[in-house]
Amino acid sequence: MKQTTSRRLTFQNRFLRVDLDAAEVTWSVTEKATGVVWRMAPSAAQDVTVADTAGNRRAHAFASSADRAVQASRNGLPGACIGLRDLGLGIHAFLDGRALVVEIERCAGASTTRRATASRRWPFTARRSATAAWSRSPRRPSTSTWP
Amino acid sequence: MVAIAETPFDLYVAMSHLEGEAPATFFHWLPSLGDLRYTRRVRFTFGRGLDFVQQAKLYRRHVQREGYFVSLADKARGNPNVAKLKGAAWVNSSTGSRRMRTLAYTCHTFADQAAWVAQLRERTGLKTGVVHVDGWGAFGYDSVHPDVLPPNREAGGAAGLRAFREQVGRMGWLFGLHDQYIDIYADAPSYDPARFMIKENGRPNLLNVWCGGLCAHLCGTESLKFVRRNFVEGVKDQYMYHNSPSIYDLCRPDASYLDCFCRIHECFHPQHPLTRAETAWYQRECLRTVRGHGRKVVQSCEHAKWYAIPDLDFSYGLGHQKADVLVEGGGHETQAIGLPVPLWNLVFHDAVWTPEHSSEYGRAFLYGSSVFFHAQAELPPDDELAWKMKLCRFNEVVGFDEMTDFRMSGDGQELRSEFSSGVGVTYCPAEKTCRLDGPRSVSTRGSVRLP
Repeated sequence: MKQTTSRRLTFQNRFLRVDLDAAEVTWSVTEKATGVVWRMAPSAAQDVTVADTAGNRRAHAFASSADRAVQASRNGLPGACIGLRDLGLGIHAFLDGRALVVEIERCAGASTTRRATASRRWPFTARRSATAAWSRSPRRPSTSTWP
Repeated sequence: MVAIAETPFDLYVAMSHLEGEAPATFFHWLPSLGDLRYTRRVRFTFGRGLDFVQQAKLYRRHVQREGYFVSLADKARGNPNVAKLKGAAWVNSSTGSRRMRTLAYTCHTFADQAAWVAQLRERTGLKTGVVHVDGWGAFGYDSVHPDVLPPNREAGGAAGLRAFREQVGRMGWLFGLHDQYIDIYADAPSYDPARFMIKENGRPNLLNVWCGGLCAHLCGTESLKFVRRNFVEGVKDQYMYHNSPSIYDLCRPDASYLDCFCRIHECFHPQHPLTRAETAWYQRECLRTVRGHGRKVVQSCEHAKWYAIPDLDFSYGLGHQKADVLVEGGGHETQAIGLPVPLWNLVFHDAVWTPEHSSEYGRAFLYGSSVFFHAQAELPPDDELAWKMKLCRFNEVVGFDEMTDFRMSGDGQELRSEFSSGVGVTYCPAEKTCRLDGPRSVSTRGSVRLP
């Protein structure tokens, strides 16, 4: 799969099928043997908190990203990488047997040097406490809002 | 479905169970020193029959693969003293306590404690036990850490402590000292803000709660230095009127308790920043330092976490995850939400020996735990002694077993655990009745009522 801006895509193996909505940054996972579907909660305003160089923090939803791209999984397994480049965040999801593996990582954006410090819960309901801090500068630690 | 964080150090787990919504748990990834310094990974495994027992067993296989699991049987092969934990009792023995805020002071001599332990041994007939000596340091319990040497002079000093240890050794029991390398007290000669663990807001953790008064938290890098000094090298600085030999040289303990480990923090001190994973590494090095050097020490701390399991032999404060809420009565009482289940035991019961601190005998049987005694002039009542002895005998059978299953029927009206030696425990909390089945040595005839 080449880089795409497609809103929806599916990847699967013998056991599981994942339907990805790249626009909303959500998945659903279907267990093929039973038909049970596990849905990720919708993207929410508290997904991540970004701290700028002045230390000002602001919460963002993953879905608020205006600069995103979807690529195939980089390890050859069925999956996808979603780059939320203006948030400096990469989400890599791939199937490994009966498991869905999700990785959250920093990714350099096209127009920003923001650096991720943490990210949120998956795949359940959003909570107000589901925040994390980010920093623009690699040398300056940001202040997080964790309890 | 079960979710396992394969990058487990910088996260916390939140739980939610609101009316009208499915109960849920959440991974919240935390920054590492203020940054997403590495890729975070979680593995969601789907499949039929993944109830909490199977979830725990899946996690057990994960920690085994990752090298965080060493069974008690394997530990006993490397250190014969570990085998003495099976069927043993934890015997707490208190020396000195100097509470700075109230100026209350108590001291029991090492000779008195030795006599009380001997009395308990004679009354119970226990072949094996672990004596845990509190407050043996220069100024008693939770005071002047990390500069606890030399042993409390009023209690009998180094000679008294050594005599106490030798008597316990002759009884065939294990002898261990309670020690602590998290706090640094304001009146300790080693007190220096350069050693503090610094929080993200640039401040140290200062508290005035424990016996010894004002203290701060040590950075993990500093903890290891003091463990090496106190246990192995001895004190080389001229302080507290003389240099002190190491704890090893003073009394050759064959057990040890390092308090407050298995909690991990970051340190933002510019000269010694430390991530949570690095803090865990330093804590493990502390445990290895005490346990190493061929001295066959059995090691303990509270609330054992996965990363320390290979370096720990026993621990308390375990059993089940419970969500407590503060009862709105103005006090500090809490109550559990929901029905606790022994996830920890389902994973680690055969890797860490677990004495039960409380007098909840039903839970102790259910979780295959052993018991606590306090060494004191007055022996416990006969009824308490009898039940604790039954638990020790039961622990002799299941103490090193894997907990293979746990079931509940009704709304927790009947709980049942099963162990790898074929023993089953059925406990009814409301009626306080317990039934043991399996080998004849432990089986009960029907249910028995617990106190």
